[in-house]
Amino acid sequence: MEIVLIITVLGPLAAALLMLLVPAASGGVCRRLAVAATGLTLALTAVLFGMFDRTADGLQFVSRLPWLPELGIDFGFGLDGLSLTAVSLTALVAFAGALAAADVRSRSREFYALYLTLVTGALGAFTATNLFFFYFFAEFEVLCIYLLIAGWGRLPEGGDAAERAGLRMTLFVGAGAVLTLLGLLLLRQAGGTFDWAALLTASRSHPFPLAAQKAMAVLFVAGFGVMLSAWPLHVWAPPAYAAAPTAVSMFGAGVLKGIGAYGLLRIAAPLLPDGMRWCAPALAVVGMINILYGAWIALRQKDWKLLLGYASISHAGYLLLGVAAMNAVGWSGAAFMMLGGGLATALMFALVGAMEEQTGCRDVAAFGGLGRRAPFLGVCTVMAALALLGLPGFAGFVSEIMVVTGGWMEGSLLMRVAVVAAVWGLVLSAAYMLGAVRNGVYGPPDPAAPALADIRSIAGRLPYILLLAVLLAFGFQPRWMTDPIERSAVSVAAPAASSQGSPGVDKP
Amino acid sequence: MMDLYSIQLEVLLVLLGALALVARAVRPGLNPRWLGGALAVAAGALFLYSFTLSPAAAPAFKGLCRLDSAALFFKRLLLGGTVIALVVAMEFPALRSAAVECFALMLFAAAGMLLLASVNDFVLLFVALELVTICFFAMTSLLRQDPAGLEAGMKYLIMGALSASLTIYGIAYIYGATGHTQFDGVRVAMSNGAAAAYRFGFLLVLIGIGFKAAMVPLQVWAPDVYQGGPTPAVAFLASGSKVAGFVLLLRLAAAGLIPAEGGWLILLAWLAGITLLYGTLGALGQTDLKRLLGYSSIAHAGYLLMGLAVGTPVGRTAMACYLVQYMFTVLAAFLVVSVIGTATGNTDGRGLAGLHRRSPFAAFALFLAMMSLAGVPPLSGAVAKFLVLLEVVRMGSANGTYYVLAGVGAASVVISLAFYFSILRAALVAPDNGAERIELSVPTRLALVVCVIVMIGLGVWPAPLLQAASGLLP
Repeated sequence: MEIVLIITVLGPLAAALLMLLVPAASGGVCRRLAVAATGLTLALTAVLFGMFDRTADGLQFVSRLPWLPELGIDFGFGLDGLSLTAVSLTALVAFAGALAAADVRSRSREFYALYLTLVTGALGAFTATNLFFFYFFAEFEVLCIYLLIAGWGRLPEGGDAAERAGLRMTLFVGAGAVLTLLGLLLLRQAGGTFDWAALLTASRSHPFPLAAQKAMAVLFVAGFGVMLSAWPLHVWAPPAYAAAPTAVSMFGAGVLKGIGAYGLLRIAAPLLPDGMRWCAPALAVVGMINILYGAWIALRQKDWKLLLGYASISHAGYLLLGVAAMNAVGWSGAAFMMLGGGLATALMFALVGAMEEQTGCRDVAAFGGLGRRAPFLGVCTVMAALALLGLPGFAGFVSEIMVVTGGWMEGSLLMRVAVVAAVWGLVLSAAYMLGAVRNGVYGPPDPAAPALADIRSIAGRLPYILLLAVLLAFGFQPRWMTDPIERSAVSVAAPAASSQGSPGVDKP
Repeated sequence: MMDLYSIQLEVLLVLLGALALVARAVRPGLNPRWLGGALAVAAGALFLYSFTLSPAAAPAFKGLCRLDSAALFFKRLLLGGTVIALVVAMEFPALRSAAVECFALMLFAAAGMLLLASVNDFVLLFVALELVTICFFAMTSLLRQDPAGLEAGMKYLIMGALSASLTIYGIAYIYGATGHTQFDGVRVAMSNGAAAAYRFGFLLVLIGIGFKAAMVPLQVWAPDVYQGGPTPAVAFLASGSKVAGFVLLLRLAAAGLIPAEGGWLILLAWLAGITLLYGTLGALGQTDLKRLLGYSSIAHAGYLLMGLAVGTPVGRTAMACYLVQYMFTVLAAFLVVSVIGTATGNTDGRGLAGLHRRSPFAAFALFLAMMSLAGVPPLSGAVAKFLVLLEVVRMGSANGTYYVLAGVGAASVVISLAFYFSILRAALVAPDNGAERIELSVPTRLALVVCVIVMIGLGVWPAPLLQAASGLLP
């Protein structure tokens, strides 16, 4: 059934090419094609989710095509629990984003073509069996996102502010990608291949030298840290999300950040156990700073999108903490949070985008009384805020518990301090999120506020309902996703926990 | 007869150039565009014909040159580049009366480049190098009414003369130290330790060739000449001439003439790093596309030198792959430069504005070329950079300098995104000034299609190229 996975990943790209090849394609046609293509991806992802064998270790649906046989690079895709999570996230956000991309009016053919390419890039990075192609697809994203923000973004400052925000993001994320490339080149030197499964085996039978592990861990943590907007490499994120058009900020904050987390969980943590254990304290400290600093700055924001941008930085801290726990529980928590947090952030950006689209402003206070003026938007905003806070019933709750438990299990004093800080971070995030909800949804309607109509059509409501439904579903039935995640996290966790063979015996 | 077999492509190119000059003398009214088209077709036929040739086992002309498989590989590449450069020239109306001379000079220069690909003797090396350089002296000053063009020609002339004198001086030292000018003889003579005189001579030759390749320390001419020179001449200078310079360096390296001792490879690594940084940092803030390509050309010389500096066959293979894709990427950029320069009279932001509407295909090709130069997947430039960096990092375990070099290469990739994206911004994002559409002529369109196919094809499916290039240069 490899073909299902291949179509899932490459389908959006094929649709993008189709769009460019049809010269007369109008905006409406392109929009429908984009919705259809991402819808197909979502449907196939559901099929993969159903067919996924929850009792097996390792990658499933694996396809391979020799690409550069001299260097041992195969082009191919595969899924395990971790990538299943990331692919589900991507497919959901991509479909919702395509539906919510009503704010694109000019040159929509180019927009949707780039957007679909972006989707394939993320899916490719999440499913590549060969780490060369992980880099290949991740770097590919940089290009698309720049053009999308520069071409269709806008900031209240006007002028070329949006373009500059896009360029800053591109340079930061590009630098991150290049750092990971250097790490991957060193990894190949140590392990002799770019194939992830083979590298895992090699790292088990002959752990890489400690010095090399440390060097690679630093490169990966810095490189993926940029994508994850880890402090102090986060400065690009809030302005870029704020500048991007709705669909792109959903995708950027929801999915692209996930590439950083995915990279740490897929490459750094399992392949470099000693190097990452050496790095873990720094990672925990950075995670703690992210949580508190992001939340602190978010408290002061009056602009919805900037508030969400900083909230997303705060969220990244939990992901870092989960990775730093260096155990299967923490990793699973981080992976599940990538899904839950990503969906909630994307939903929030979609809602704010819809409000901005109508009113042309995005001051939190300008939407006072939203609950009465536009009940659907108001209810969705409250629900999304609660999901982002990680209240019980939403996916975020489970993942926060897992991250905190994993961090506590790790046992070191520093980690426990970080966990306590993380819990306090939840209080801070309740403060900014509920504050925003109070000012932006409840309260008396401001008579001077710009007119705002509710979303009434089913098609218009679909993206919000879909994302909320999935968040609730995984909140009540987390095991649907956490079982496969935990299985793959356990299977790649430190050798002492694995029972296959006797690792380390044939060490020279 | 075997001797002539080895240089038949060069002979045919020179005959073709002479034919162009005769045709102009006999029929002064001949439309230069038609003549250029005919010459491009003829050069294309030569390119196809070159696939019927097979490598000759023995060196020709008592060892002056050899048509081995590597020579044939690069001759095909250079011929392909010549065809596209001729298309640039035929569609460049500003040349006017000088058009036919430009075609002829291009063909003569191409003959010199092809000869460089098979050179096996320092004397022939110098002659072929000068054949190329002198043709370019004339080509860069073809626009006699344009002060910027004349200035460019003058700068190229002075630097070229300097490099030629360094080269010949170095060859004299090499001959003095070894008693040979043929590569094989030189290698045998220095096999038990290179004399100091040889090393000095080789350094001078390296710097002299570095002029063609636009590498430090003879790189300063590139931005000025690229900006001021006539676009067809610059296009050929940036593609053919540069590639030929590196092919020559590859041959010298493969012939074992780089002294093994004394940290020569480390010197090359330093040169590569400095060249790379000079080009990358210089390109920041440039708004004129031609000038930016001049700095970018220096930066790429740095990447190419990396492949040489590792001193391994794998590195040389990576460099050969890099050269193939670079040729077509640069030509794609210059085809677009030529189109917008002709249509709007300038090649900075004003000329680029609204390109996506005025000529979607040219904008698409420029987009791919910039991304390929920047090394963004899935374009050919990304694969080439990856191959080079892979080998540089691999050699890092032998000498830490290579780790530094890889770091410099990686940093430059990021910095270069800033200026390549600034071009894209001007062409794709910046406000459209409402200028009229640009219609691409059929030859330009065809040439762009070829370049686009190469850029995407080699990026998506590089295995055949890597197979063809590996093992060429032991």
